[in-house]
Amino acid sequence: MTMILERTGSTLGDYEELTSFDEQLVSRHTPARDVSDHDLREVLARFDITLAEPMAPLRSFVVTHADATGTSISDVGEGVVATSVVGLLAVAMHRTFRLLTVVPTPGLAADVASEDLPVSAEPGLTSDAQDVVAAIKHSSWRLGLPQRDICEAADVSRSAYYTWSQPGAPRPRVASQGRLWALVQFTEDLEDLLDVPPGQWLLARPERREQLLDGRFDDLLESLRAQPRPLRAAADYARFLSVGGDRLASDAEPATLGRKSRKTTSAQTVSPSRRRKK
Amino acid sequence: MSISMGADDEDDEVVNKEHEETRPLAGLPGADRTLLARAPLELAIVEVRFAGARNLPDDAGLRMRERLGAAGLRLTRLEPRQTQRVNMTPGVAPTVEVGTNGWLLANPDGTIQVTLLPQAAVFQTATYYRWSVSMRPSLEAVLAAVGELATPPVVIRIGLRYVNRFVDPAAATVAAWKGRIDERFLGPICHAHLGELVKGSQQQVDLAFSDSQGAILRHGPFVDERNSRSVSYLLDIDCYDTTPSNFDVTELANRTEVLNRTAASMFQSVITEGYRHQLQSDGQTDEETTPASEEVLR
Repeated sequence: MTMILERTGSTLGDYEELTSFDEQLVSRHTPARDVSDHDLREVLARFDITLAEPMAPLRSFVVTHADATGTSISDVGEGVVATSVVGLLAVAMHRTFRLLTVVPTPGLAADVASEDLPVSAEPGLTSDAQDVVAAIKHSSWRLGLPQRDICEAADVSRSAYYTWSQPGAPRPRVASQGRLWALVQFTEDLEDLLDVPPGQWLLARPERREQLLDGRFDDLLESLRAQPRPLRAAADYARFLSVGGDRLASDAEPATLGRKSRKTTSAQTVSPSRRRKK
Repeated sequence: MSISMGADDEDDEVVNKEHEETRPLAGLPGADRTLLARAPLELAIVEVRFAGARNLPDDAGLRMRERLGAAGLRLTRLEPRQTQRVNMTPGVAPTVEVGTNGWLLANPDGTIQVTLLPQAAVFQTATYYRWSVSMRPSLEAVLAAVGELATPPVVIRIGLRYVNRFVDPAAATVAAWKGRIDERFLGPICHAHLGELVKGSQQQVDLAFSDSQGAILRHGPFVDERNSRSVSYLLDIDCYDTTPSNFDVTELANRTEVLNRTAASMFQSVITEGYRHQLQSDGQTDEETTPASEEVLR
Protein backbone atom coordinates (compact mmCIF):
# COMPACT_ATOMS: atom_id res chain seq x y z
CA MET A 1 0.00 0.00 0.00
CA THR A 2 1.28 3.41 -0.78
CA MET A 3 0.05 6.43 1.05
CA ILE A 4 0.54 9.73 -0.63
CA LEU A 5 0.49 12.88 1.38
CA GLU A 6 -0.62 15.88 -0.50
CA ARG A 7 0.90 19.20 0.25
CA THR A 8 -0.61 20.97 3.16
CA GLY A 9 -2.67 23.94 2.17
CA SER A 10 -1.60 27.48 2.72
CA THR A 11 -4.24 28.30 5.29
CA LEU A 12 -3.14 26.43 8.30
CA GLY A 13 -3.70 25.98 11.95
CA ASP A 14 -1.04 25.74 14.59
CA TYR A 15 -0.27 22.12 14.19
CA GLU A 16 -0.63 22.17 10.45
CA GLU A 17 1.86 25.00 10.34
CA LEU A 18 4.41 22.81 12.00
CA THR A 19 3.67 20.04 9.62
CA SER A 20 3.71 22.32 6.65
CA PHE A 21 7.05 23.66 7.70
CA ASP A 22 8.42 20.20 7.90
CA GLU A 23 6.81 19.10 4.71
CA GLN A 24 8.22 22.08 2.93
CA LEU A 25 11.56 21.01 4.24
CA VAL A 26 11.02 17.60 2.78
CA SER A 27 9.96 19.04 -0.55
CA ARG A 28 13.23 20.90 -0.65
CA HIS A 29 15.03 17.61 -0.69
CA THR A 30 16.24 16.04 -3.85
CA PRO A 31 14.83 12.55 -3.42
CA ALA A 32 16.86 9.46 -4.06
CA ARG A 33 14.99 6.95 -6.14
CA ASP A 34 15.36 3.21 -6.34
CA VAL A 35 18.68 3.13 -4.52
CA SER A 36 20.05 -0.26 -5.43
CA ASP A 37 22.52 -0.32 -2.54
CA HIS A 38 20.46 -1.73 0.30
CA ASP A 39 22.88 -0.63 2.99
CA LEU A 40 23.03 2.91 1.72
CA ARG A 41 19.25 2.98 1.55
CA GLU A 42 19.10 1.91 5.16
CA VAL A 43 21.52 4.60 6.22
CA LEU A 44 19.60 7.30 4.39
CA ALA A 45 16.38 6.04 5.92
CA ARG A 46 17.95 6.22 9.35
CA PHE A 47 18.69 9.88 8.82
CA ASP A 48 15.20 10.45 7.45
CA ILE A 49 13.68 8.87 10.50
CA THR A 50 15.74 10.90 12.86
CA LEU A 51 15.46 14.20 11.14
CA ALA A 52 11.80 14.85 11.66
CA GLU A 53 10.12 14.14 8.42
CA PRO A 54 6.39 13.61 8.38
CA MET A 55 5.37 10.06 9.17
CA ALA A 56 8.72 9.34 10.75
CA PRO A 57 7.26 7.38 13.65
CA LEU A 58 5.54 5.14 11.17
CA ARG A 59 8.75 4.11 9.53
CA SER A 60 8.86 0.97 11.57
CA PHE A 61 5.80 -0.06 9.62
CA VAL A 62 6.37 1.51 6.27
CA VAL A 63 9.08 2.51 3.88
CA THR A 64 8.70 6.15 3.12
CA HIS A 65 10.21 8.13 0.35
CA ALA A 66 9.34 11.20 -1.63
CA ASP A 67 8.55 11.29 -5.28
CA ALA A 68 9.84 13.83 -7.71
CA THR A 69 7.21 16.32 -6.72
CA GLY A 70 8.21 16.16 -3.09
CA THR A 71 5.15 14.18 -2.20
CA SER A 72 5.80 11.75 0.61
CA ILE A 73 4.95 8.18 -0.26
CA SER A 74 4.83 5.40 2.26
CA ASP A 75 4.93 1.82 1.10
CA VAL A 76 3.60 -0.74 3.54
CA GLY A 77 5.34 -4.03 3.21
CA GLU A 78 3.69 -7.38 3.02
CA GLY A 79 2.99 -9.07 6.29
CA VAL A 80 2.18 -5.87 8.05
CA VAL A 81 -1.17 -5.86 9.72
CA ALA A 82 -2.93 -3.41 7.52
CA THR A 83 -5.56 -2.41 9.95
CA SER A 84 -3.22 -1.27 12.68
CA VAL A 85 -1.00 0.57 10.29
CA VAL A 86 -3.82 2.23 8.47
CA GLY A 87 -5.46 3.18 11.71
CA LEU A 88 -2.28 4.78 12.93
CA LEU A 89 -1.58 6.43 9.64
CA ALA A 90 -5.09 7.68 9.41
CA VAL A 91 -4.96 9.23 12.84
CA ALA A 92 -1.70 10.94 12.06
CA MET A 93 -2.70 12.07 8.63
CA HIS A 94 -6.17 12.98 9.63
CA ARG A 95 -4.56 15.48 11.93
CA THR A 96 -1.76 16.42 9.70
CA PHE A 97 -2.58 16.57 6.07
CA ARG A 98 -5.41 18.05 4.18
CA LEU A 99 -5.95 15.10 1.94
CA LEU A 100 -5.27 11.46 2.30
CA THR A 101 -4.70 9.49 -0.81
CA VAL A 102 -3.71 5.90 -0.62
CA VAL A 103 -2.29 3.64 -3.23
CA PRO A 104 -3.03 0.11 -2.11
CA THR A 105 -1.34 -3.10 -2.91
CA PRO A 106 -4.02 -5.23 -4.53
CA GLY A 107 -6.21 -6.76 -1.92
CA LEU A 108 -4.91 -4.66 0.90
CA ALA A 109 -7.47 -1.92 0.80
CA ALA A 110 -10.20 -4.39 1.51
CA ASP A 111 -8.54 -5.19 4.82
CA VAL A 112 -9.10 -1.72 6.10
CA ALA A 113 -12.22 -1.61 8.13
CA SER A 114 -13.93 1.69 8.48
CA GLU A 115 -13.93 1.33 12.22
CA ASP A 116 -10.15 1.57 12.13
CA LEU A 117 -10.38 5.07 10.85
CA PRO A 118 -11.43 8.22 12.59
CA VAL A 119 -14.54 9.87 11.33
CA SER A 120 -13.24 12.59 9.08
CA ALA A 121 -16.35 14.71 8.80
CA GLU A 122 -18.78 15.77 11.43
CA PRO A 123 -21.51 13.16 11.53
CA GLY A 124 -24.99 14.39 11.29
CA LEU A 125 -26.35 14.19 14.77
CA THR A 126 -29.74 12.65 14.86
CA SER A 127 -32.55 14.04 16.82
CA ASP A 128 -32.31 11.00 19.04
CA ALA A 129 -29.58 11.97 21.43
CA GLN A 130 -29.49 8.45 22.80
CA ASP A 131 -28.28 7.07 19.54
CA VAL A 132 -25.12 5.33 20.62
CA VAL A 133 -23.85 4.91 17.09
CA ALA A 134 -24.05 8.62 16.49
CA ALA A 135 -22.42 9.24 19.83
CA ILE A 136 -19.52 6.98 19.00
CA LYS A 137 -19.05 8.56 15.60
CA HIS A 138 -19.32 11.98 17.10
CA SER A 139 -16.69 11.17 19.70
CA SER A 140 -14.46 9.75 16.99
CA TRP A 141 -14.81 12.93 15.05
CA ARG A 142 -14.29 15.14 18.07
CA LEU A 143 -11.24 13.29 19.33
CA GLY A 144 -9.82 12.34 15.98
CA LEU A 145 -9.49 8.74 17.07
CA PRO A 146 -10.57 5.59 15.28
CA GLN A 147 -14.02 4.34 16.13
CA ARG A 148 -12.35 1.18 17.33
CA ASP A 149 -10.55 3.19 20.01
CA ILE A 150 -13.73 4.96 20.93
CA CYS A 151 -15.46 1.63 21.42
CA GLU A 152 -12.64 0.44 23.61
CA ALA A 153 -12.62 3.64 25.64
CA ALA A 154 -16.38 3.41 26.03
CA ASP A 155 -16.23 -0.27 26.88
CA VAL A 156 -18.58 -1.04 24.03
CA SER A 157 -17.92 -4.27 22.20
CA ARG A 158 -17.16 -3.90 18.54
CA SER A 159 -19.64 -6.61 17.67
CA ALA A 160 -22.36 -4.71 19.49
CA TYR A 161 -21.39 -1.54 17.71
CA TYR A 162 -21.52 -3.37 14.42
CA THR A 163 -24.94 -4.71 15.24
CA TRP A 164 -26.23 -1.31 16.26
CA SER A 165 -24.94 0.13 13.02
CA GLN A 166 -27.15 -2.12 10.95
CA PRO A 167 -30.51 -0.88 9.69
CA GLY A 168 -33.36 -1.88 11.94
CA ALA A 169 -31.09 -2.77 14.81
CA PRO A 170 -32.76 -3.04 18.19
CA ARG A 171 -32.27 -0.28 20.67
CA PRO A 172 -29.11 -0.90 22.69
CA ARG A 173 -29.49 -2.03 26.25
CA VAL A 174 -28.10 0.41 28.77
CA ALA A 175 -25.81 -2.23 30.17
CA SER A 176 -24.26 -2.67 26.73
CA GLN A 177 -23.42 0.97 26.43
CA GLY A 178 -20.58 0.72 28.90
CA ARG A 179 -19.16 4.10 29.76
CA LEU A 180 -20.07 5.72 26.47
CA TRP A 181 -21.90 8.62 28.02
CA ALA A 182 -19.07 9.22 30.44
CA LEU A 183 -16.83 9.41 27.41
CA VAL A 184 -19.16 11.87 25.74
CA GLN A 185 -19.11 14.02 28.84
CA PHE A 186 -15.36 13.69 29.07
CA THR A 187 -15.06 14.88 25.49
CA GLU A 188 -17.16 17.91 26.30
CA ASP A 189 -15.05 18.70 29.34
CA LEU A 190 -11.86 18.27 27.39
CA GLU A 191 -12.96 20.72 24.76
CA ASP A 192 -13.88 23.24 27.40
CA LEU A 193 -10.52 23.02 29.09
CA LEU A 194 -8.26 22.81 26.09
CA ASP A 195 -7.17 25.45 23.71
CA VAL A 196 -6.02 22.85 21.22
CA PRO A 197 -7.95 20.03 19.58
CA PRO A 198 -8.58 17.29 22.16
CA GLY A 199 -7.08 14.59 20.02
CA GLN A 200 -3.91 16.57 19.72
CA TRP A 201 -3.60 16.74 23.45
CA LEU A 202 -4.46 13.10 23.90
CA LEU A 203 -1.84 11.96 21.44
CA ALA A 204 0.83 14.20 22.91
CA ARG A 205 1.74 11.49 25.38
CA PRO A 206 1.24 7.78 24.82
CA GLU A 207 0.07 7.29 28.38
CA ARG A 208 -2.86 9.64 27.79
CA ARG A 209 -4.20 7.43 25.06
CA GLU A 210 -3.74 4.44 27.31
CA GLN A 211 -5.66 6.17 30.07
CA LEU A 212 -8.40 6.99 27.62
CA LEU A 213 -8.66 3.41 26.41
CA ASP A 214 -8.80 2.26 30.02
CA GLY A 215 -11.64 4.64 30.67
CA ARG A 216 -9.70 6.67 33.21
CA PHE A 217 -11.33 9.90 32.20
CA ASP A 218 -11.11 11.53 35.60
CA ASP A 219 -7.39 10.90 35.76
CA LEU A 220 -6.98 12.58 32.41
CA LEU A 221 -9.01 15.60 33.43
CA GLU A 222 -7.11 15.82 36.67
CA SER A 223 -3.77 15.83 34.90
CA LEU A 224 -5.09 18.39 32.49
CA ARG A 225 -6.22 20.71 35.24
CA ALA A 226 -2.88 20.28 36.97
CA GLN A 227 -1.07 21.76 34.01
CA PRO A 228 0.14 25.17 35.13
CA ARG A 229 0.48 26.91 31.80
CA PRO A 230 -1.98 27.58 29.02
CA LEU A 231 -2.39 24.44 27.07
CA ARG A 232 -0.68 24.02 23.82
CA ALA A 233 0.71 21.39 21.54
CA ALA A 234 3.18 19.60 23.73
CA ALA A 235 6.67 18.98 22.51
CA ASP A 236 6.09 15.29 22.88
CA TYR A 237 3.35 15.49 20.35
CA ALA A 238 5.62 17.03 17.83
CA ARG A 239 8.11 14.33 18.56
CA PHE A 240 5.48 11.68 18.26
CA LEU A 241 4.70 12.79 14.79
CA SER A 242 8.18 14.13 14.21
CA VAL A 243 7.09 17.29 12.61
CA GLY A 244 9.50 19.94 13.61
CA GLY A 245 9.17 20.33 17.32
CA ASP A 246 11.44 23.30 17.18
CA ARG A 247 8.65 25.18 15.50
CA LEU A 248 6.36 24.91 18.42
CA ALA A 249 5.27 28.34 19.43
CA SER A 250 7.19 29.66 22.38
CA ASP A 251 5.73 31.35 25.40
CA ALA A 252 6.37 34.60 23.67
CA GLU A 253 4.05 33.66 20.85
CA PRO A 254 0.72 33.00 22.46
CA ALA A 255 -1.16 34.55 19.59
CA THR A 256 -0.35 31.70 17.30
CA LEU A 257 -1.94 29.23 19.65
CA GLY A 258 -5.31 30.71 19.98
CA ARG A 259 -6.22 31.08 16.39
CA LYS A 260 -9.80 30.10 15.93
CA SER A 261 -10.81 30.55 12.37
CA ARG A 262 -9.12 28.40 9.84
CA LYS A 263 -10.18 27.47 6.44
CA THR A 264 -9.88 24.05 5.01
CA THR A 265 -8.76 23.57 1.50
CA SER A 266 -10.22 20.21 0.81
CA ALA A 267 -13.65 18.82 1.17
CA GLN A 268 -12.14 15.68 2.59
CA THR A 269 -10.43 17.43 5.42
CA VAL A 270 -11.66 18.70 8.65
CA SER A 271 -9.24 20.97 10.41
CA PRO A 272 -8.88 20.15 14.08
CA SER A 273 -10.19 23.55 14.94
CA ARG A 274 -13.42 22.80 13.14
CA ARG A 275 -13.97 19.81 15.29
CA ARG A 276 -14.10 21.96 18.30
CA LYS A 277 -17.38 22.54 19.86
CA LYS A 278 -19.21 25.40 18.38
CA MET B 1 33.76 13.09 -3.70
CA SER B 2 35.31 13.64 -7.06
CA ILE B 3 33.38 16.67 -8.09
CA SER B 4 34.79 18.85 -10.77
CA MET B 5 35.19 22.28 -9.39
CA GLY B 6 35.82 25.83 -10.28
CA ALA B 7 39.19 27.48 -10.03
CA ASP B 8 40.64 28.25 -6.66
CA ASP B 9 40.21 31.93 -5.98
CA GLU B 10 43.60 32.28 -4.33
CA ASP B 11 45.50 30.63 -7.11
CA ASP B 12 44.06 32.10 -10.20
CA GLU B 13 42.19 35.38 -10.13
CA VAL B 14 41.95 35.55 -13.90
CA VAL B 15 40.23 32.22 -14.14
CA ASN B 16 37.93 33.20 -11.33
CA LYS B 17 36.70 36.20 -13.27
CA GLU B 18 36.10 34.06 -16.29
CA HIS B 19 34.13 31.62 -14.20
CA GLU B 20 32.34 34.09 -12.06
CA GLU B 21 28.96 32.89 -13.19
CA THR B 22 29.63 29.36 -12.07
CA ARG B 23 31.42 30.08 -8.84
CA PRO B 24 29.93 28.70 -5.64
CA LEU B 25 26.92 30.50 -4.31
CA ALA B 26 26.98 32.93 -1.42
CA GLY B 27 30.65 33.69 -1.87
CA LEU B 28 31.74 30.27 -0.65
CA PRO B 29 35.37 29.60 -1.45
CA GLY B 30 36.18 27.73 -4.61
CA ALA B 31 37.17 24.14 -4.06
CA ASP B 32 40.38 22.34 -4.74
CA ARG B 33 40.13 20.73 -8.15
CA THR B 34 42.19 17.67 -7.43
CA LEU B 35 40.23 14.49 -7.86
CA LEU B 36 40.03 12.19 -4.90
CA ALA B 37 41.83 8.90 -5.26
CA ARG B 38 39.50 7.38 -2.73
CA ALA B 39 36.22 8.99 -3.57
CA PRO B 40 33.54 8.46 -0.90
CA LEU B 41 30.71 9.40 -3.24
CA GLU B 42 27.98 6.76 -3.26
CA LEU B 43 25.20 8.51 -5.08
CA ALA B 44 24.79 11.60 -7.21
CA ILE B 45 21.35 12.84 -8.16
CA VAL B 46 20.23 15.76 -10.23
CA GLU B 47 16.54 16.51 -10.43
CA VAL B 48 14.71 19.20 -12.38
CA ARG B 49 11.08 19.81 -11.46
CA PHE B 50 8.55 21.39 -13.74
CA ALA B 51 5.25 23.14 -13.45
CA GLY B 52 2.54 23.12 -16.04
CA ALA B 53 4.03 20.23 -17.94
CA ARG B 54 1.94 18.29 -20.38
CA ASN B 55 1.32 14.61 -20.01
CA LEU B 56 3.99 12.50 -21.57
CA PRO B 57 3.34 10.73 -24.86
CA ASP B 58 2.57 7.05 -24.54
CA ASP B 59 5.89 6.08 -26.06
CA ALA B 60 7.86 8.67 -24.09
CA GLY B 61 10.02 6.06 -22.40
CA LEU B 62 11.01 4.43 -25.65
CA ARG B 63 11.72 7.71 -27.35
CA MET B 64 13.69 8.88 -24.35
CA ARG B 65 15.78 5.74 -24.45
CA GLU B 66 16.53 6.25 -28.12
CA ARG B 67 17.54 9.84 -27.60
CA LEU B 68 19.71 9.07 -24.62
CA GLY B 69 21.32 6.21 -26.53
CA ALA B 70 22.14 8.55 -29.37
CA ALA B 71 23.76 10.85 -26.82
CA GLY B 72 25.89 8.01 -25.49
CA LEU B 73 23.83 7.17 -22.45
CA ARG B 74 22.78 3.59 -23.01
CA LEU B 75 20.06 2.52 -20.62
CA THR B 76 18.63 -0.86 -21.51
CA ARG B 77 16.04 -1.20 -18.78
CA LEU B 78 12.75 0.52 -19.35
CA GLU B 79 10.03 0.32 -16.75
CA PRO B 80 6.77 2.22 -16.56
CA ARG B 81 6.19 4.29 -13.49
CA GLN B 82 2.52 4.50 -12.77
CA THR B 83 0.67 5.06 -9.57
CA GLN B 84 -2.91 4.33 -8.72
CA ARG B 85 -4.40 6.63 -6.24
CA VAL B 86 -7.14 5.52 -3.97
CA ASN B 87 -8.95 8.19 -2.09
CA MET B 88 -9.94 6.78 1.24
CA THR B 89 -12.81 8.28 3.10
CA PRO B 90 -13.94 6.51 6.22
CA GLY B 91 -17.14 4.65 5.66
CA VAL B 92 -16.98 5.06 1.92
CA ALA B 93 -15.59 2.63 -0.58
CA PRO B 94 -12.20 3.80 -1.86
CA THR B 95 -12.21 5.43 -5.26
CA VAL B 96 -9.40 4.55 -7.60
CA GLU B 97 -7.82 6.84 -10.09
CA VAL B 98 -4.69 6.74 -12.14
CA GLY B 99 -1.93 8.86 -10.76
CA THR B 100 1.29 9.81 -12.42
CA ASN B 101 2.50 8.14 -15.57
CA GLY B 102 6.17 8.06 -16.19
CA TRP B 103 9.17 5.97 -17.03
CA LEU B 104 12.28 4.66 -15.39
CA LEU B 105 15.27 3.99 -17.58
CA ALA B 106 18.29 2.27 -16.12
CA ASN B 107 21.36 0.30 -16.96
CA PRO B 108 21.29 -3.42 -16.11
CA ASP B 109 22.61 -3.10 -12.56
CA GLY B 110 20.60 0.01 -11.78
CA THR B 111 23.59 2.16 -10.99
CA ILE B 112 22.57 4.71 -13.58
CA GLN B 113 18.95 5.75 -13.76
CA VAL B 114 16.83 8.30 -15.50
CA THR B 115 13.32 8.90 -14.26
CA LEU B 116 10.93 10.78 -16.46
CA LEU B 117 7.70 12.11 -15.06
CA PRO B 118 5.43 14.90 -16.26
CA GLN B 119 6.56 16.92 -13.26
CA ALA B 120 10.24 16.07 -13.15
CA ALA B 121 13.28 14.63 -14.83
CA VAL B 122 15.85 12.88 -12.70
CA PHE B 123 19.31 11.60 -13.44
CA GLN B 124 20.90 9.45 -10.77
CA THR B 125 24.20 7.64 -10.77
CA ALA B 126 26.18 5.51 -8.36
CA THR B 127 29.18 5.52 -10.67
CA TYR B 128 30.18 9.15 -10.53
CA TYR B 129 33.56 10.11 -11.83
CA ARG B 130 33.52 13.82 -12.37
CA TRP B 131 31.03 16.52 -13.18
CA SER B 132 32.15 17.10 -16.71
CA VAL B 133 32.02 13.39 -17.49
CA SER B 134 29.33 11.84 -15.35
CA MET B 135 26.77 14.53 -14.80
CA ARG B 136 26.64 17.47 -17.15
CA PRO B 137 26.52 15.56 -20.45
CA SER B 138 23.90 13.20 -19.07
CA LEU B 139 21.85 16.02 -17.63
CA GLU B 140 21.93 17.88 -20.91
CA ALA B 141 20.96 14.75 -22.80
CA VAL B 142 18.04 14.10 -20.47
CA LEU B 143 16.81 17.67 -20.58
CA ALA B 144 17.15 17.83 -24.34
CA ALA B 145 15.02 14.73 -24.64
CA VAL B 146 12.48 16.13 -22.23
CA GLY B 147 12.31 19.28 -24.30
CA GLU B 148 11.49 17.25 -27.37
CA LEU B 149 8.91 15.05 -25.70
CA ALA B 150 6.99 17.56 -23.64
CA THR B 151 8.53 20.95 -23.28
CA PRO B 152 7.73 22.08 -19.76
CA PRO B 153 6.76 25.74 -19.67
CA VAL B 154 8.29 26.48 -16.30
CA VAL B 155 11.09 25.01 -14.24
CA ILE B 156 10.46 25.42 -10.53
CA ARG B 157 13.33 23.61 -8.91
CA ILE B 158 16.76 22.23 -9.60
CA GLY B 159 18.23 19.90 -7.04
CA LEU B 160 21.68 18.39 -6.91
CA ARG B 161 22.46 15.88 -4.23
CA TYR B 162 25.66 14.06 -3.37
CA VAL B 163 25.61 11.26 -0.83
CA ASN B 164 29.06 10.47 0.51
CA ARG B 165 30.08 7.68 2.83
CA PHE B 166 33.49 7.98 4.41
CA VAL B 167 34.71 4.55 5.37
CA ASP B 168 37.51 3.44 7.65
CA PRO B 169 37.49 -0.25 8.57
CA ALA B 170 39.68 0.56 11.56
CA ALA B 171 37.25 3.12 12.95
CA ALA B 172 35.90 1.39 16.02
CA THR B 173 34.40 4.51 17.58
CA VAL B 174 33.13 7.85 16.38
CA ALA B 175 36.28 9.39 17.80
CA ALA B 176 38.09 8.01 14.79
CA TRP B 177 36.60 10.87 12.79
CA LYS B 178 38.25 13.54 14.85
CA GLY B 179 40.80 15.25 12.71
CA ARG B 180 39.00 14.17 9.55
CA ILE B 181 35.69 15.93 9.90
CA ASP B 182 35.76 19.58 10.93
CA GLU B 183 35.23 19.56 14.67
CA ARG B 184 32.50 22.18 14.39
CA PHE B 185 30.48 19.60 12.53
CA LEU B 186 31.46 16.81 14.87
CA GLY B 187 30.01 18.81 17.73
CA PRO B 188 29.47 16.66 20.83
CA ILE B 189 31.84 14.03 19.56
CA CYS B 190 34.61 16.44 20.50
CA HIS B 191 33.23 16.92 23.99
CA ALA B 192 35.74 16.04 26.68
CA HIS B 193 33.37 13.89 28.73
CA LEU B 194 30.53 12.94 26.43
CA GLY B 195 32.47 12.47 23.23
CA GLU B 196 33.55 8.94 24.01
CA LEU B 197 29.98 7.98 24.78
CA VAL B 198 28.53 9.02 21.44
CA LYS B 199 27.45 6.02 19.41
CA GLY B 200 25.88 7.80 16.51
CA SER B 201 24.66 11.16 15.40
CA GLN B 202 22.33 12.39 12.71
CA GLN B 203 22.54 16.09 12.08
CA GLN B 204 20.91 18.35 9.55
CA VAL B 205 22.07 21.82 8.66
CA ASP B 206 19.89 24.04 6.50
CA LEU B 207 21.73 26.69 4.56
CA ALA B 208 20.23 29.61 2.65
CA PHE B 209 22.35 31.10 -0.09
CA SER B 210 19.58 33.42 -1.19
CA ASP B 211 15.80 33.58 -1.05
CA SER B 212 15.56 30.81 -3.58
CA GLN B 213 18.82 28.92 -3.26
CA GLY B 214 20.03 26.81 -0.44
CA ALA B 215 21.28 23.47 0.73
CA ILE B 216 20.41 20.78 3.19
CA LEU B 217 23.43 19.13 4.67
CA ARG B 218 22.97 15.92 6.57
CA HIS B 219 25.87 14.26 8.24
CA GLY B 220 26.91 12.04 11.07
CA PRO B 221 28.73 8.86 12.04
CA PHE B 222 26.94 5.55 12.00
CA VAL B 223 27.68 1.90 12.53
CA ASP B 224 28.25 0.56 9.07
CA GLU B 225 26.89 -2.92 8.56
CA ARG B 226 28.51 -3.12 5.16
CA ASN B 227 31.96 -2.53 6.60
CA SER B 228 32.25 -4.98 9.46
CA ARG B 229 30.33 -2.71 11.79
CA SER B 230 33.05 -0.12 11.79
CA VAL B 231 31.99 3.50 12.20
CA SER B 232 31.53 5.24 8.88
CA TYR B 233 30.53 8.85 8.33
CA LEU B 234 27.70 10.01 6.09
CA LEU B 235 27.86 13.37 4.39
CA ASP B 236 24.74 14.08 2.35
CA ILE B 237 24.81 17.40 0.50
CA ASP B 238 21.62 18.51 -1.21
CA CYS B 239 21.86 21.85 -3.00
CA TYR B 240 18.83 23.38 -4.64
CA ASP B 241 17.75 26.36 -6.66
CA THR B 242 14.04 27.15 -6.71
CA THR B 243 14.26 30.22 -8.93
CA PRO B 244 11.47 29.84 -11.50
CA SER B 245 12.66 29.93 -15.07
CA ASN B 246 11.87 28.94 -18.59
CA PHE B 247 12.97 25.59 -19.85
CA ASP B 248 16.35 26.14 -21.41
CA VAL B 249 18.74 23.21 -21.46
CA THR B 250 21.98 25.15 -21.40
CA GLU B 251 20.79 27.58 -18.78
CA LEU B 252 19.59 24.74 -16.57
CA ALA B 253 22.89 22.94 -16.96
CA ASN B 254 24.78 26.10 -16.02
CA ARG B 255 22.68 26.62 -12.94
CA THR B 256 23.22 23.03 -11.94
CA GLU B 257 26.92 23.51 -12.42
CA VAL B 258 26.80 26.37 -9.96
CA LEU B 259 25.14 24.03 -7.50
CA ASN B 260 27.86 21.50 -8.21
CA ARG B 261 30.59 23.96 -7.35
CA THR B 262 28.70 25.01 -4.27
CA ALA B 263 28.41 21.39 -3.18
CA ALA B 264 32.11 20.89 -3.75
CA SER B 265 32.92 23.90 -1.61
CA MET B 266 30.65 22.63 1.13
CA PHE B 267 32.21 19.20 0.94
CA GLN B 268 35.65 20.61 1.45
CA SER B 269 34.41 22.79 4.28
CA VAL B 270 33.16 19.80 6.21
CA ILE B 271 36.25 17.63 5.99
CA THR B 272 39.61 18.77 7.29
CA GLU B 273 42.37 19.74 4.94
CA GLY B 274 44.51 16.89 6.17
CA TYR B 275 41.82 14.33 5.43
CA ARG B 276 41.23 15.87 2.03
CA HIS B 277 44.88 15.46 1.19
CA GLN B 278 44.69 11.91 2.43
CA LEU B 279 41.76 11.22 0.13
CA GLN B 280 43.52 12.97 -2.70
CA SER B 281 46.71 10.99 -2.42
CA ASP B 282 47.49 9.45 -5.76
CA GLY B 283 44.79 11.67 -7.18
CA GLN B 284 45.12 13.81 -10.22
CA THR B 285 44.15 17.33 -11.11
CA ASP B 286 40.87 17.55 -12.91
CA GLU B 287 42.19 19.29 -15.98
CA GLU B 288 39.05 18.71 -17.96
CA THR B 289 36.91 20.91 -15.84
CA THR B 290 38.14 24.28 -16.93
CA PRO B 291 37.77 23.88 -20.68
CA ALA B 292 34.33 22.40 -20.24
CA SER B 293 33.24 25.29 -18.10
CA GLU B 294 34.72 27.83 -20.46
CA GLU B 295 32.83 26.30 -23.29
CA VAL B 296 29.61 26.47 -21.34
CA LEU B 297 30.10 30.10 -20.43
CA ARG B 298 31.22 31.20 -23.79
